[in-house]
Amino acid sequence: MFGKNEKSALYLLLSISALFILYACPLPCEPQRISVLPIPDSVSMLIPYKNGDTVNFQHSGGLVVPFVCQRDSSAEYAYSDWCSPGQEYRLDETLLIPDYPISSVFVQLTKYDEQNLLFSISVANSSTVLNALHELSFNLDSLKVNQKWFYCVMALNLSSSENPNYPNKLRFDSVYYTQQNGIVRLTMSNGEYYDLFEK
Amino acid sequence: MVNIMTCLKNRIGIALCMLCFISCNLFEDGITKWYKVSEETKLWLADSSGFCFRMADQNGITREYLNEQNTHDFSEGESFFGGVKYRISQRENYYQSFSSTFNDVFSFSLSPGYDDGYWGERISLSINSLSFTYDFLLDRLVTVETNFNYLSHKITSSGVENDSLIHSTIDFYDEIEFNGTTYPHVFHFILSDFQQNWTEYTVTEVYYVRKLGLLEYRFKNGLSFTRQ
Repeated sequence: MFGKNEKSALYLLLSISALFILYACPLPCEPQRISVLPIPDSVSMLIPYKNGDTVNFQHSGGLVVPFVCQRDSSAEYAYSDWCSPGQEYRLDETLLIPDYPISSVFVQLTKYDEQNLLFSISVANSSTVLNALHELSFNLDSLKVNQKWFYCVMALNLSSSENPNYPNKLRFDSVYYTQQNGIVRLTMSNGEYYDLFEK
Repeated sequence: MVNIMTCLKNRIGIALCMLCFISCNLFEDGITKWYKVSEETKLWLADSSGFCFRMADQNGITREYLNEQNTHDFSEGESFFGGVKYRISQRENYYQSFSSTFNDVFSFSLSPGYDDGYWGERISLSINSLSFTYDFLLDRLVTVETNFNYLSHKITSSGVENDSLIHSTIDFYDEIEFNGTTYPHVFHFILSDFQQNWTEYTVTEVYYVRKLGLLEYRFKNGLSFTRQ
């Protein structure tokens, strides 16, 4: 009924159709999930803020700005490909929301596995990310802020996305942080700063 | 002989396609109307010296605005009658947008008028949740929007309907003095609409300088941000 060439063409057409159908309507999949243990309390304590707290910061010009803390922890899943195992990761997120038209401050712990536990601080267009298990005990020093001494202060550089048109753009450039008090000072590239203000 | 005929057919086909292409373009050129912004109105755009500027409030808190977009293009419109395209309009647009250190957004745009005399060249300004458009020919604000509330004048051949729809105002000054500096060609916008929906941080006043850009804006709570 079919010649040799026609048969080949028919097989080719059927193969392409089958591939198309498989691609368009993939088989149902129940992806596996790879779990991760919760962030240990000893690490969560790196962030001292509690949900509902109010923290005050004083701008170098004198204005005191209250920030309300919102803290939440959750488990999320990341899927790299269709039907690949979902990698669970744990989040401990703190948002400091100012009662003034400036940026919120975001402090976060992200645990991907037992070795990868990241601590990050973001404010406006700047941020820093550190390994919470290995890097948070470096550069400790004391710092006097608003007539009060703080000890075991970490000085962290904040980096910002480069914009070749504006190499000297205004940005937050460093944050001073203690495990006991959280952020004690934020500095900007024009010399302005925000200091922890304790009444 | 057959080869010669085939070759000729191919060439005639190509020639016809090219002729059709050229004539279509010529035809479209013939029915295209270009609407451009006048040189006078273009002066309201911020020049490149205003692409990175800082503003500070009364508390000495500084924010920097960086230019994100500075575009000039034409938007095309087509009119058909009985399925035949009889008119194409190309309207010139200028658009400049900026964002600040603290994620404020500011944009300014220009558009041309129509030759039917219904409306004229327009400037539009948007800062945070406030937007407004001013028409030079009608000499009035034609749209005002803030906090998701919107007012727009309906304009017909007989003019502007409901003349008292928008209460916000815009005034143009030959010059104005700010912090000891005199700025030429300034407009001052004051928001008066939607007062029941204002928040503490609703922008209620804007000063804008020709060529320089944003000079000052104020919130409802009295906080103001002035060009440094």
